Amino acid sequence: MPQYFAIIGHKDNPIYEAEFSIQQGNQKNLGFSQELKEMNPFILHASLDIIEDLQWQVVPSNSQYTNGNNSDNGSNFSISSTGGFLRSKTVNNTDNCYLGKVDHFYGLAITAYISYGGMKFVMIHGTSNSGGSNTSASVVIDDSACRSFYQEIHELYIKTLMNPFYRAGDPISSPVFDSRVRSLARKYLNK
Amino acid sequence: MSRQQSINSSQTAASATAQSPLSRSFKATGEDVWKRTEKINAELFTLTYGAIVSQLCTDYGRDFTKINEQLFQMGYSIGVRLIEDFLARTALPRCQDMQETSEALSKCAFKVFLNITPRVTNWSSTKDTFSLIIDENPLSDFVELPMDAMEQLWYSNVLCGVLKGALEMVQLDCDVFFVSDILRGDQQTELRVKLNKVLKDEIPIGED
Amino acid sequence: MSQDIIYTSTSDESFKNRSTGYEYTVGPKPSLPDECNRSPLTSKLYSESLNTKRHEVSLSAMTFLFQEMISSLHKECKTVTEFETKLSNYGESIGSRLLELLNFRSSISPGSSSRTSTFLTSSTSVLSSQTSAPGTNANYTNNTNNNNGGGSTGNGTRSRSNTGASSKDYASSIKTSNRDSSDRHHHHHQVESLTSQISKMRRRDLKILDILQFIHGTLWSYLFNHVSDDLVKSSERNNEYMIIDNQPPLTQFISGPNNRISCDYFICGIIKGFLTNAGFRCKVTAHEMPQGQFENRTVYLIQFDNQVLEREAIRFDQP
Repeated sequence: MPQYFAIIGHKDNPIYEAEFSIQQGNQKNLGFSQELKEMNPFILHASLDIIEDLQWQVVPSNSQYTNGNNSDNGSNFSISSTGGFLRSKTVNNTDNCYLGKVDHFYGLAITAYISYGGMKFVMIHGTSNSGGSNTSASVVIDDSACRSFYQEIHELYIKTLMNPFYRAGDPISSPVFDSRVRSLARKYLNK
Repeated sequence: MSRQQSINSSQTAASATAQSPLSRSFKATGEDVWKRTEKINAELFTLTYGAIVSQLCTDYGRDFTKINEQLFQMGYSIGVRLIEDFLARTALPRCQDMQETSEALSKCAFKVFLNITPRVTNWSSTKDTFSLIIDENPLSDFVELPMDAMEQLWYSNVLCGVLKGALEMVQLDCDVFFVSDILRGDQQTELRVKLNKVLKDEIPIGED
Repeated sequence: MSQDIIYTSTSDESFKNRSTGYEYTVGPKPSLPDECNRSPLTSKLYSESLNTKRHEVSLSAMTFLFQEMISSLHKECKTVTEFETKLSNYGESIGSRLLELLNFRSSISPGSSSRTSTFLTSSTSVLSSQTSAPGTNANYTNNTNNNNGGGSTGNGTRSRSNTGASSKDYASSIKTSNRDSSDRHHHHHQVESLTSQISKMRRRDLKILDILQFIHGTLWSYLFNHVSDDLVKSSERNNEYMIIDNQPPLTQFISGPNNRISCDYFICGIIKGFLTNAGFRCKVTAHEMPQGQFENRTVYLIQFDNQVLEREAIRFDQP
């Protein structure tokens, strides 16, 4: 299944984006459809409010959002100690970097991760049937693989940040970063 | 000079100097003083230097020639102050020749301040020019040069200034410059020290 | 070449160039059909482990560099405020990096390295003359030990398995780390990521007190080999906290009291960069408050923005 991945900075600006599509046997490139390619940044940005809310929850719980109504919960700060029903049991409640699935959009699932410096790592997971926008089957997220993917990206991001020539918030244009991210995607998301 | 040659000569030079009692005493002095030295996390040092270089890049609009000069200047003024501290702490006698100077630099000076001992190698036939190969450069940890700096910036140029300033204070007029840097994609980081002349003893230095 | 990889929003051919990274103006690059067959790009920065090397330099090398930074700032700044702001900016760029780095390192499972505790042991002996205030410190020190133990793991052979990676990855990671320790000079080795040593990420700090304790403990130990001498909440204003250092090491050789305190704005910047990037907007200032034998005792005053207090009240104040 294809993914759209982005790192979003403090001003909601993308500092890195990538699309992953996985080759399977002789099949054609299983990427997003053209419409979705263009929609992805908007779908992702629509989830940022939710992520910002989860960012400051003691136990980031996405239950109120995964029920489908994700438009007007901004003022609801209730702290829930149980995960949402869509939340996989393997999500470790004490980890508040990886937020798991935070939102969905038709058949697409959106997962997120927040770094210690408040960088938002967000990913849209498409479905295998080439990401058509009106499929009803939801994408199943493998939380363990997904968390590892995010952690590895986090580590790559820190390496980028440590370079004195990189200024926080600037787009990451390093080809090495790009190629490392892609190989991580093949390792963890190619399921 | 070809790289192969320089590697060969480095090996012979290293094995030759390793035997000499003088070299051993430099090494012992350096290690002894380092043990008694107050220390700080090398990463703070690395990050501070990184912040300085990146600020210079902004201030000088990425004019890397000017940045090299500026780093050298900073180093120079550190060097002229640092030599006193160095002589006081190591109580080294005056070096008799460049060979001794090179050993004192590598095994005492670099050791005492940065806890590294660059390899001395690549001697000129006249024995007045040598290279220091810096394998572990605490200044350049976590650094990747931007494309536009690859050809021009000597990231660690402050070191050249420090050596220049310090050597001048002990009456050695030297040229100090980088010839290669791992950050630029070179095989190794090589700093060259070339003696121009020994200055007349005008300024009394330390306890000499 | 498959047509799928041609991106409609641009005619830029650079997508096909194997050595380009992300470009903001172009948008996300899709996967290329042959990308997995490419040889990995080499890079010192990305190949080196983020793990701490526990290297040290002499305090005097650091002091010389710091003084040089100070004197060039003195030349270019006209007012004290300008000087303090610029010095603080240097610190901020470091603080924002340390926020990510130290938290990430603290996530490494204790016991995933055999060298866990040596850093603290050596640091106490180095600075044994440094007396730290009793009382409040005792609680924090314990906390610091935990954090720092994880943060200071070396490249040594791992003694315990991890949960994240497959056993095959783990096998190769042992091989890599063995090579690391036997050959420190080899720069371009392939280092496995730290993620394989992390079973659970350290939590992001959400409360003022939590992140201040991390600064007081882990950050201070990282910078100066000891926890800060005190962490105090103002009794008069509820947005003010103080971190106290009896003998700030960096500025101890700077003469003139007013000069010296201005130079402490470097540390103010580190604290500010650490806090603001973690979502705690604040102002940090340095104040001289000699006490007894400590003539240079410095108080770093942290004043949080109201929005931080409001958020904390909404989120965490239980009735």
